[in-house]
Amino acid sequence: MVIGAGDERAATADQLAAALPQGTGAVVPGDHGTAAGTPELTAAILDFLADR
Amino acid sequence: MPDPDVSYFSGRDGVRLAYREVGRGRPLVLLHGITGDSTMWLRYGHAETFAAHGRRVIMPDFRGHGRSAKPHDAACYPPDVLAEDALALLDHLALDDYDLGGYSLGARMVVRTLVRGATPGRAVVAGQGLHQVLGLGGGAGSLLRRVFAGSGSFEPGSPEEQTDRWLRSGGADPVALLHVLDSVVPTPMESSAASRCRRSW
Repeated sequence: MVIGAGDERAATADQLAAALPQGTGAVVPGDHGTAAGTPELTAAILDFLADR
Repeated sequence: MPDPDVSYFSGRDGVRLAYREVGRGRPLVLLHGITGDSTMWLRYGHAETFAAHGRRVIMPDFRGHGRSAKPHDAACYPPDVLAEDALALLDHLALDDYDLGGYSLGARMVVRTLVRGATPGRAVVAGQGLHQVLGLGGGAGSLLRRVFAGSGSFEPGSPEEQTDRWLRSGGADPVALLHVLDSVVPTPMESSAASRCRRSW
């Protein structure tokens, strides 16, 4: 799970991570619209995928 | 922005669906958000970066979006149809060892695709919360329904007005998008084979 710090969905994002098998979470800058375009989002996904 | 060729496959009901690919390596299937398309992964450099790290990045357009068909027949949007389309793409590409991710609606569809039997090595749910995944409201769907219901009548500068203006400028198809929203349900019918969708592109 990865979420923008200012995204209204962040309120229950940790619960989503907890609901997923072996779920982990990361927070990146931005709201729902802007977080989608951040290099931090790319980096968070890459880190997660590389950690196999 | 990279501009890879658009390829097509068929949903299980015959609807024509689009996807783009960049890179080579372990497959990573990425699902976009509502009203967007696969270019969201290309526009901000995500796909290029993943490809540079040895990934084959596969980015479908949901039905009702982008280069995929946008049928206006509600029967083409049974519950969980977007997740079924993602499963159809995995079958089409014969992927069995891959990762799967999505942003916003795409993240909800990652969850639905898992529930419906997908087995990615890793799953990324981005820009989504449990409240929305459980279908308890909030999120882009609620905003879009307000915009579609009252188009042209919003306070300047409000999220509704901005979204309305953006939808009008972007060539989005409100009829198709409303059907898409209706297909997103927390407790779907599990029988997509009952779809009465008429072939349409």
